[in-house]
Amino acid sequence: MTAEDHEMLSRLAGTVRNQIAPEVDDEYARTQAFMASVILQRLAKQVQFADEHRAAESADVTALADQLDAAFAQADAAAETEAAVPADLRDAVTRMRQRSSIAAASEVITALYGWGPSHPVASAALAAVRGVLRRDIDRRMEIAQ
Amino acid sequence: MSAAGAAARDDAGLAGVLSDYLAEQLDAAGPVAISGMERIAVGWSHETWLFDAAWSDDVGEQRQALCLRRDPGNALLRHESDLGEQFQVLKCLEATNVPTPRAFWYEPDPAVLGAPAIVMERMPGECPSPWRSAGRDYYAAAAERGVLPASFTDALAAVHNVDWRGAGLDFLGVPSGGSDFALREIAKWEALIDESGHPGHPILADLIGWLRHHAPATEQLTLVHGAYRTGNVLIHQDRVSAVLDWELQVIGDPMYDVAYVLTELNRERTELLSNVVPRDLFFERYQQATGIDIDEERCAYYQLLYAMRSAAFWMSAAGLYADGSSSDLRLARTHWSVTVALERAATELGY
Repeated sequence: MTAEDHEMLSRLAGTVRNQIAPEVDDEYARTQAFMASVILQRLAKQVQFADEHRAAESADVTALADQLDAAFAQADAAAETEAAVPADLRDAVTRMRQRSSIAAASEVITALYGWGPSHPVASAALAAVRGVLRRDIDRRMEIAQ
Repeated sequence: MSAAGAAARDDAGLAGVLSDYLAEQLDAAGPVAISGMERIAVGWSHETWLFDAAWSDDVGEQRQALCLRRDPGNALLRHESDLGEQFQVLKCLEATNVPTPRAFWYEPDPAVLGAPAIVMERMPGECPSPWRSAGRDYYAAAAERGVLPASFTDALAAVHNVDWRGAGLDFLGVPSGGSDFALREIAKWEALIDESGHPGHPILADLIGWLRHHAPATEQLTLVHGAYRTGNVLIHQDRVSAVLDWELQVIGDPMYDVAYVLTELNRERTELLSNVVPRDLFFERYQQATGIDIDEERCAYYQLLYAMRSAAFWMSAAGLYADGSSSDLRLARTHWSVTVALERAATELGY
C-alpha cells in the first residue's frame, strides 16, 4: 500500500459522502451510502498508518518480551522463597516474541491470570503488558475515530 | 420455503400473509383487514412492524392495534436472542406490575410468516432515540416536568419486584449463588465472541481475566431486564407505558440493571441518568420501592462487564457482515466500534 492508495480511498470516501449519498432518495440506501463513506475513510487511515503502526508494534513487542524475560530471570534467581515462574507463561512470552505480534499478548495475559495477578511478579508483568496495550489501542484509535 | 413464507419476505406480501394467519388464529368470520402497516427501525436484532387488524366474529366488529416482531436469522445477538423465549417472558409478565404489551401468538415456523415471529399488542406511546438530539431534547423536557423520571424509576423497580418464581420465570435459568451470576454472564458473552469469528485482542483477554478474578457474590436474585434505559421503554403521557426489548433478560443481580442506568454510556451531554432521571431521585425512589440498597461497587464491576458485552456485540455485528450473513454496512462499520469499546475497557481497567 502506498500514499497514493490512501489518497485514492480518501477521495472515494469524499465522493460517496458528498456526491452520491445526498442524491439517493431511499432512506435505507442513503444511510448505507453514508456508511460506505465512513468505512472508506477508516480504510484510508488504515492504509496511511499501516507501516508506521506495524513498526511500532514490532518494537513494542520486542521490548516487552525483553522486559518480561529479564523480570522472570530475576524472579527465578530469588525463587528459593517464591513460586517459580510458570512454564506456560515463559512459553507464551517466547511465542509473542517469535510472532512479533500484540495479538499474541493474549496468551501472556491468560497465563498471568492463571498464575495469580496478585503475585508481585505477575502484577508487575501485567502492568508492563498493559503499557504496551495502551500504546496499541491508542494507535488503533487513530483509525477508529 | 412455502409460498406464504416467500411472500412474507416481501413487505407488500407480508400484509396478505398476516391477514390469513390472523384469520386462523382469531377464528374470524371472514377476512382480517390489515391497515396502516409500517416497518419501524428499532434495534439491530429483529424486524418490527406496526399495523391495525379489523375483523368480525361472533361478538361483532373487532379492531386491534398490533406489533409483529420477526427474527431474520442474522440478528446481532445470534442465538442469545430468541423470540420464543421473549414470548414466554411477556406471557409470564402479564400478571405482574411490569408494564408490558400482551403477547398473543408465537409462530416458530419460518414457512408461515417468513421467519420466526411474535405478534403482540401495540401499546400507546413513543420511543425517542436518546442518541439523537431530538430525543435528548424530548427527555430533557420530560425531566423538567418531573413525571417521567419517577415513572422510569418505578418501572425498573417493578421489574426487580417481580416474584419471578411465582411468575414462572425460572425457566430463564437460576444462578446457583456466590459469583455464579457474574461468571455465567462472562461465559455467555465469551460464547458470542467465539461465535463471531473475531480474532479478539489482548485487552479483551485482560478484561475477561479481571472480571473472572473479581466476580462479586450476588446477594439477591431478581428478574433483570439486561438493557434498561431510555430508548428501550415506550412513553405515553410522560409515563412508561411498556418496557420493551426483552432480549437480554436473566435471573440475576439487580445491580446489573442499576449499573446500566448509572453508566455514562447511556447518557449524552447531561448528568441525568439515562438522559432523564436525576441521580438523587433515582437512588431514593428505587431503594424505597424495592428495599434494595444500591451497591455502587458492584455497579462499577458490572460497568466493566458491560464493556465486555459491548465488545462482544460489535464483534458479533462485524462478523455478520464479514461472513456474508448480512449486507448491512452499519454492521461492517462496527469493526471499528470494537476498538472504541476496548479503549474504554482499558481506561476502566486503569490504563
